[in-house]
Amino acid sequence: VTYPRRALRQSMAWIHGWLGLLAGWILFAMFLTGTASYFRPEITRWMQPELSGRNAPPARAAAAAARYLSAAGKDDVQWFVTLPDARSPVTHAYVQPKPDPAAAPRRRAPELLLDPVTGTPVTARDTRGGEHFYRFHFQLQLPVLWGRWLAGLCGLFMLAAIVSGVVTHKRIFADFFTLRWNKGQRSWLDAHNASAVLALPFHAMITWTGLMTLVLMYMPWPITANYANPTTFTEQAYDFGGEDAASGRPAPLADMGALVRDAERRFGGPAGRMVVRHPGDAAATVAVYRGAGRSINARGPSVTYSGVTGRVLSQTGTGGPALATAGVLLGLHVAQFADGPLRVVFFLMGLTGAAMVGTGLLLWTTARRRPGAAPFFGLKLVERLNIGAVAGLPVGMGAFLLSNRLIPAAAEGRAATEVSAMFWTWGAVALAQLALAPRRAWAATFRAGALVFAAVPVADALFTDRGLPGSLTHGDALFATFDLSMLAVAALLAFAAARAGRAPAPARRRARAAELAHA
Amino acid sequence: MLEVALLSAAGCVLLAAATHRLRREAGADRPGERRALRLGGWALLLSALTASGGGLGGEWAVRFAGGFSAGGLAAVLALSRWPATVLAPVRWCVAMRRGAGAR
Repeated sequence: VTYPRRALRQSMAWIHGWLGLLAGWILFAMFLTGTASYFRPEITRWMQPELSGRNAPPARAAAAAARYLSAAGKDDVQWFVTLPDARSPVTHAYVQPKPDPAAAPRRRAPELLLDPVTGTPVTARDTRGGEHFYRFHFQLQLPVLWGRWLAGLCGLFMLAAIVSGVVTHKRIFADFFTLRWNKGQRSWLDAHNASAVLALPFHAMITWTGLMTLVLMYMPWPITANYANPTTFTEQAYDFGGEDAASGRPAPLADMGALVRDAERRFGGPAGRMVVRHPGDAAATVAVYRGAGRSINARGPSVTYSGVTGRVLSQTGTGGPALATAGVLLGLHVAQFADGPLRVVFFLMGLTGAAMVGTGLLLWTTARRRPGAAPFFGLKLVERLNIGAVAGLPVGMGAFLLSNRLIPAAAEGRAATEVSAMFWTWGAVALAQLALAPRRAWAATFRAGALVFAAVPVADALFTDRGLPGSLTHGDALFATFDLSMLAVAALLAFAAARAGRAPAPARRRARAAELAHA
Repeated sequence: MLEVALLSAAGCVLLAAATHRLRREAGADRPGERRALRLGGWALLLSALTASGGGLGGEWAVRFAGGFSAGGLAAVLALSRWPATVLAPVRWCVAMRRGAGAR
């Protein structure tokens, strides 16, 4: 049997169209929530308005936290302490208590929020905060392994779509500055090309590095072939240290502040976290890790001290070339090294990624719609899924933020309720739009999003003692910027609703029409 | 960071002015003028690259890619909406150069 040969560009266009469509809805959600995650600490801070903004240097916060934790549980196995920085003003501590064989197995202890100056626990409303968007963008609210595999598969599709899209684009340089408005399918193609081509380095980088961050899960074979026990690799590669037992002889902890200051001198920058093993025991150790922001490499060096004498036990750099490369790839993806303006640029580029995927999904339907002809089932299905994903997800994200202010601060299980609010709202909107004709459904869903986002600063003013006017008066930049951003998103969605509700301009079909569609 | 985005946007505007689609709005009909615009565009992009230099190893590349993308997108959006207004300074410069050449 012989098959007609397709030109390379045609084959690539076919691949680009179908891979983009199959993964498009998930990729859109990954891009949008991942983009929001660039401001993960800021979102969390806004969602915990009870916390004051007073800050302390990491060394002082470490000493204060150690004082409190020593008094609270001297025979704990381990403390994981994330030290405060400019973006997150409180100390976060996870305590691993000594296992009690008589007690029933219990869930992981909750995170403690400690005042950086006094070390005492501070109370704030329970919320997942920005962490929810971050986790969702690669776990998709599925069981962890399923979510990560699905995200990886979609990432792989995205990478293939990027490569095939570049090959497909015949006039990539000629069309570099072309964006024509109000011309139907041609406009969607221009918008897809402009968002894809101009931010191509970002899209390729973020997709590739996203895949690489989970590469050990997707391809574990080099480790299983070389290590009898995979945890040995983790211990050696990331200096997690062995499971040294406690000596059983009590001994006071060294001055944590002095250890952190010494580590910072060695790093040449601020410490980010510390792990204290067997506090209060003669065999106690303290590992101090460098904070983000000093290097693109997300895995910084660490120093391990004796927790009693303060003697340096070991010091690690950034590892060998392979580990350093992995650290840089991770660092590029999470962009913790980026200062404010660069982070804003990363955020904008993330939005262009979402725009690229969204316009690609719209292009698929626009290219297949024929004037006067009834849409076929697949077209109707894709159109409805597009509305549910592209216009519906922002409504859900807005509902998550709005619910933070509407659910009472002391309510039981409020963190889970906030997350449920996002998905119930998203689901409800995706179903409700089925009752309307597509064009009205687009407009109504965008309008709903605009209303939800506009309601966020209103609820902030009504249910907290902050509010936009107060934040502006007191010079609280984070809260003011957040509320203004919500209004900006609301305005953007209202603009989208107005545009989507308009009747399309009559399309003029041209001989090059086939070239305009990717598939 | 802002200067990288601004230099990139200006470079993109000059390169766009030399394209077939926009050269009329830029008033650059002659091949020599378009060559000069391209040269100026690349020079601005090169200065954006120079302005991206940071203290951290490799961060300059991230800054340049980010700034170029942001500036380029802004240029494309502006050119798509108000091509004559955006290209007015280019048109003015081309006219000045012609005037100087005629004298």
